[in-house]
Amino acid sequence: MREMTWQILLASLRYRKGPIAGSVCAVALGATLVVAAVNLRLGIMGRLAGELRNYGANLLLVPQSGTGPFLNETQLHNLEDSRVKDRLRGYVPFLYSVVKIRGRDIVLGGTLFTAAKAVHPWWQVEGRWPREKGEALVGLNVAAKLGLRLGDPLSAVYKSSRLTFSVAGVLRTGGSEEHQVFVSLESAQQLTGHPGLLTSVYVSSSATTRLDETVAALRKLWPEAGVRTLLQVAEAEEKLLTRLEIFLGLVALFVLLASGLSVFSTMTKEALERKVELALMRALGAGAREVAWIFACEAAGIGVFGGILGSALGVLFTEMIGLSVFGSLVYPSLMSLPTGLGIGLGVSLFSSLWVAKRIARLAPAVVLRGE
Amino acid sequence: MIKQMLTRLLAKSLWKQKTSTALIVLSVASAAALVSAFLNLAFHLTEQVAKELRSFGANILLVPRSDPLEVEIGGLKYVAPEESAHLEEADLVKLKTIFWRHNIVAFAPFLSRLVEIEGNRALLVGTWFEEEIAIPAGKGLFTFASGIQREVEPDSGKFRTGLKSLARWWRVEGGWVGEDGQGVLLGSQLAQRIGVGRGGVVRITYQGRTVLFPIRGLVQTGGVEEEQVFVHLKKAQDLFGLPGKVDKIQVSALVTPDNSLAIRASRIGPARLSPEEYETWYCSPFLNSIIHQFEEAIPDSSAKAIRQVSEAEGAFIGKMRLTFMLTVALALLAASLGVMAAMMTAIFERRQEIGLMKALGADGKQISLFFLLEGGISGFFGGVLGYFGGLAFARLLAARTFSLASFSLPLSLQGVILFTTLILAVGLAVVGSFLPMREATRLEPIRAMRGS
Repeated sequence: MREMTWQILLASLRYRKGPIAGSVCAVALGATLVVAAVNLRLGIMGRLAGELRNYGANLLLVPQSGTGPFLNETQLHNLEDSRVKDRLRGYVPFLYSVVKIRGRDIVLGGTLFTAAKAVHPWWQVEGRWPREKGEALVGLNVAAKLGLRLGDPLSAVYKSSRLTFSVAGVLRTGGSEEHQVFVSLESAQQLTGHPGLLTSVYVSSSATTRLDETVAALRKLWPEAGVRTLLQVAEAEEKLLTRLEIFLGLVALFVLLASGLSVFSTMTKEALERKVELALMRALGAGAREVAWIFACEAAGIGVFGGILGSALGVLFTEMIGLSVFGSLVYPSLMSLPTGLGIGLGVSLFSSLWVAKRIARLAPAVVLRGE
Repeated sequence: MIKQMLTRLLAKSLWKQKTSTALIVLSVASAAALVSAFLNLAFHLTEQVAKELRSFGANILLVPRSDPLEVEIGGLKYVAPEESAHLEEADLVKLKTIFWRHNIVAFAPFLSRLVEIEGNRALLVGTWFEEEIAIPAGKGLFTFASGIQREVEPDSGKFRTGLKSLARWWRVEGGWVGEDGQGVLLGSQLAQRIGVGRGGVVRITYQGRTVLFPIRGLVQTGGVEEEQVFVHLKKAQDLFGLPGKVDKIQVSALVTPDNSLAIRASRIGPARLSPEEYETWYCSPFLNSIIHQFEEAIPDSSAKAIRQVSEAEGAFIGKMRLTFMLTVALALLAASLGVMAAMMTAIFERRQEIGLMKALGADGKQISLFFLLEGGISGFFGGVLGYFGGLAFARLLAARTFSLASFSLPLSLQGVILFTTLILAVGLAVVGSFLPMREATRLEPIRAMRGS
């Protein structure tokens, strides 16, 4: 009997290449759409969340109250710790102090410029970002008030020490940074006599991690620092993302339903087409179970092939969206293959068995007579 | 004769095959619902996302033209008194009289000085918390150099604005400062340092003058606000001896992402655009045109984009729109596939009927016409059903995902959407029935009737 089943299956594969290929295509198409929708929901969602990180840091590290006005720069290595590194997108330290420039009180910020550029992507620099120790980035308003132009020398006085910088760029942000002057962290520390000290660290957490867990991890690693959540960014972001999540989730659900229905329709049609064949098997003495078994095997084969093909195509499709919208590849969801296989195998098995059962109820003679 | 027969056949067939017809109408309806829902949403999407993004706070800052240099660290601000410049509080309402008045979501004035509070130095900020202001009618008709006139609906009447709607992320423990302007909001860090809580009283000293304020609530933001004290603008003006003055105004405005015109306008300056371009630019809610209109409305002011908010917003809306369109395309594709497959199955199930028709002398053309008509009719009904279903779905989506209680599109737009939905539904059904029908009509009648 087992042998017979195999023979029938093999023969079916040999003689019904067209219809089987058609079914595989239909299943694959359905699975493609579903996998793409799932990937959109998971992968693209992460990307959109990442876009929102352009609103800047959502965490601020300041000295814990009662521990003095400074953080220790050497402690920055805490942020590179493996327990927290993956949770962070970037961080930028600052050391602020008020210095005299051309006789006026100005806030001088020492920072790491490469880090500032990454964490504060909205900082717009006319001229260029400072590259060397002796260069400064001057806020737009400071430049206007002091009449500073690109390349001008600028000497900053703090108590008895003095350092001279040249203006590398003018900074435009629309915020308080326009009233400030930025130099390298090292220069600021040297000028103000605070070697190895920081005022604050702005931290941008990675978009896909939970913020409260990141805060807890940071508190544990760096107990001297008070971790503050910048609600302006964090809260608005959370609200928006929840909304988007619901929206993409609803669309994914819809695609799942529509694709499931189309696979179901196709498989039903394929099975109906073989009504006579089924009846013949029954007339020749096959039991309802055996017929159903043969059908199930075939449907499973089609489902697996279609599902795998669909998963691959779905991922490809998502990557195309990722490339066209975000300009880079999207990390495909691990759920891709299970989802594709699930929809392919599940729906095709279900629909063919459904038809087989319906036909099995008819008397073979009636079907064979063509009524 | 043939026509009569066709109508009878159609009516009979649609009626007799109720389940199959219902299935097709349903699958067409779901596709149509999707189209109608997304078309409805698409007109609102950018606006809705933009509205959502307003919860990131103000995107425009207005300062006096000779913006004094601030010396501010960690929420403590020093301004050299010899250099102080101010905006007039009376000018605030003018923000709601510009061309894009309806796009101004919220604004709040700020006036701040360093004070002593219970022996601690802190910044006292005077502002509006929840203020109801009367908006004058303002200019209704804008005439441009190009000769075009644009009319703007007046937005006169009451407008509620202030920090509560501008800075929606503020967590206030206790209550906001009410209409009466009595009391202060204290930054939570500062309150902790001073050792006072809600319900207490703080003594605030500025240049020898001392005032007692009851504490209304404690503010938590994670930012420098936690080190500051907030009072009603009036109180601050009285304390500082600056009646009617404000330092700066923060505005939250709905803007549209820059296009090439906006980029050109900001590069060469709006004055050098051609009159027609200027008119288009002025009458589009670009960030820069709104900024331009603010500077027009308020004398001696300088408006600028708060780049942290405006930069991220533009980029996000653009990407969001693309993602939305691609998602919709995906869903539409799935829905179309569903319709096609349903049509295929339906026609396949009726092969015997086709055989019979052929045997009775109908030719391929007549049969095709019959089935295409049938598909078209199911498509039409599915489309109508789907249109209304989609309307409901859009409402649901809008309410659930974009906190929009209700929205309405003008009837003319609804007409366009209905038309598009119907065309698409009928098209899908007809195209879906075309392929399997061609296959069926090619069969020999006898084979079709035998069902093999």
